[in-house]
Amino acid sequence: MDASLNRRKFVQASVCAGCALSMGGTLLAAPGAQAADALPLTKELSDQEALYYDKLDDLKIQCKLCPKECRVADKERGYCGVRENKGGVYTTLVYGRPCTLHVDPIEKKPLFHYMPGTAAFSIATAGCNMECKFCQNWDISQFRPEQIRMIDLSPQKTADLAKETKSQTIAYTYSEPVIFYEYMYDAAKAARELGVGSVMISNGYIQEKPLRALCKQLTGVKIDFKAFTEKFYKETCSGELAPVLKALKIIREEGVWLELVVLIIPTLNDGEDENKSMAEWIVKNLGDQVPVHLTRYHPTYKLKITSTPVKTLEKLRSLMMKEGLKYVYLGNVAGHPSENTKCPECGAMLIRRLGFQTQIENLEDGECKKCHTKIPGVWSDPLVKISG
Amino acid sequence: MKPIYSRRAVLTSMGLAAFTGPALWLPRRSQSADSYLNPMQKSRVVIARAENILQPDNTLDAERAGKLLDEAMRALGGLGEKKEAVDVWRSLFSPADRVAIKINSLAGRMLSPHPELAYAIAERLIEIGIPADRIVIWDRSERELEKAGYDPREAKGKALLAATDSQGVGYEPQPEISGSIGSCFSRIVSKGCTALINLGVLKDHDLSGVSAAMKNLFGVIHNPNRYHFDVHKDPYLPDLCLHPYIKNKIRLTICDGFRGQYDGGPAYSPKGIWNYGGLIASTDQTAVDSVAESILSRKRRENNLPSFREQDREPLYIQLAEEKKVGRADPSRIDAVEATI
Repeated sequence: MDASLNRRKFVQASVCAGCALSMGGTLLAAPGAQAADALPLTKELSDQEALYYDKLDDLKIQCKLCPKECRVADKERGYCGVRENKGGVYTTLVYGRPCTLHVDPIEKKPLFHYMPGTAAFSIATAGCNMECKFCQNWDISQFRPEQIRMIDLSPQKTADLAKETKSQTIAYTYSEPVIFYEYMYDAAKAARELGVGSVMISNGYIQEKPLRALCKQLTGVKIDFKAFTEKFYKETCSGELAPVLKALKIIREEGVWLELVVLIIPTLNDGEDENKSMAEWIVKNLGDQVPVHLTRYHPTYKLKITSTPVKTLEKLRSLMMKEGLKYVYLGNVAGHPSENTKCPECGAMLIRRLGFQTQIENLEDGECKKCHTKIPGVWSDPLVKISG
Repeated sequence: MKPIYSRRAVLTSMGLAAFTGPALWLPRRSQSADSYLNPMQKSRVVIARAENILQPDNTLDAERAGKLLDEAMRALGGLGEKKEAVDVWRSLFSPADRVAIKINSLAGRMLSPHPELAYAIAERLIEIGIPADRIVIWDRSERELEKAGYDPREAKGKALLAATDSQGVGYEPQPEISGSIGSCFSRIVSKGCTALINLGVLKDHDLSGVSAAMKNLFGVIHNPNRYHFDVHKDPYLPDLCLHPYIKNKIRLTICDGFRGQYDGGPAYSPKGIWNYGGLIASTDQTAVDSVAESILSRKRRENNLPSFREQDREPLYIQLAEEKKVGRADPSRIDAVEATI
């Protein structure tokens, strides 16, 4: 099939979704265009040399991208499954090889204080550097790229498509963007040239050097803050907490807009003491203005515990707000009033949400219309630094 | 890339096309495959070696390789000279079986199980009444098979060639848990076969220490990279072998040691290569790994290389496999016999 025709079809499908986004003034519909099938597929893995690794003896390498620091022999791959040692040269197999593309509402990421009601051109490749037993996208994150679909889409084409689909932002999401670092970095750079922002939806399991470099290209970050114990990170996610805490501080230092998601799972990370400690840590190290999304878990992948009661989420939200956090939202609970953004000073309704539908009410130029309190976030051009 | 074998042939002959539910039949279990469960019995491992089988271009003299395989099987069966190798094959497989021969083709043409050996195995299966189109030689990807020298034209009439990434094959849609492992299994091993032959290669492995038998089976799951680190001491490999797809189907393990690699694995590394000149066969894959460890360790000592333990990659998974009753690791419980032609 003709690739340009396919590309045109994708843009048409996505622009239609964009139209849906903009209908009705500030009351925006969620689009969810899924037109990736219209783009050219490939079976060829990328052979782009990876960044951030050390060469060792006997053609071995040691990866320095994420804290796992995989030591990888020739012909073998790192834990992520998408970086391979080819004769002593560490290679990213997924550079320009997304497995999925959607035009999503930015609220789906979720980012609530970042360009509400706008479209995020959302991409992912196969692979992840953790294995969360509750992963909802395990069918891409836990596979090797050649085991699933690969789309041939260079970073420049990615940026171009984002622009053509009238997406204000590219979201690197669904799986774990850290493992497709080089692709994300170059796409974000190309997008920036076109006036399109870039947000990373990540577990924050990345080393300092690559993270600081990446932050220069990003306009927003959402970190899945899995829990506040090493035990949870180790046993449920095959990761570590300490490097994530460090990454969160770095993102804050670099001045990139940051929001957090905590998926609350009954018996595993829903303890009051644990979440109180987490809130204290956030307030102390990231500030009380960081939006925190407490989201409802449903059984999936390898975890079969029953869904989180909404009451648990409500209780933890109250607890975290008592600790000083100003913006604590509930997620995966459609229609719950805690999806809305209210002014922490006067209580005015600033942004009303229903699922991914968004209505801006008393927010103007990043301020509460009623009491003029500055509301932190990225409210207009994503390439303009954070206000508030 | 062109398909190695037609989708229709693989799906139909291996029964994958018809599978929508659980496995339709239970595999036949051989007595010898269970021998390690009897604390009084030892696991027999045959080390069969002969000169002038491996050619300078790393191909095998197919006729002599076949003869050595026959001697190995006779010795494995312990049947004495009155019995033929074919009787041992009959004791392990039935004509109704669909047999999957899992090779380890990661290292390419220079360090993978030799096609001549794989075809010799297939020919013996045909001899006991299993049609060629019910025998599949396979690995993860068609590309790896091709690079390891497996050619559909040469395989024709002996076996199908297929890979998990062949069109229409793939992995099971849901992960299955087996101890510390949680993975989607290749449909070739879950539904496409009733019997499994593990055909690995005798080599050093950077992380697991030894790759001879159990390690080859990482190629049946979709996420081996999740279990590579500390694989030498964690229970991943034994747990994988305890999954019913493996435990109930594996009948025979053969490790191709015509050419071995005692250092620098798992990729081909000329400096660690030597011509061992034989194969290791058993119905107990743990015992094959145990014997392989001793062979590789001895070769490393001869070459003044540090031991696996000194390099923090001692293959403790082999001992763990015995503790978990996968098979025998303790040399005193392994009956190692030699064969030659």
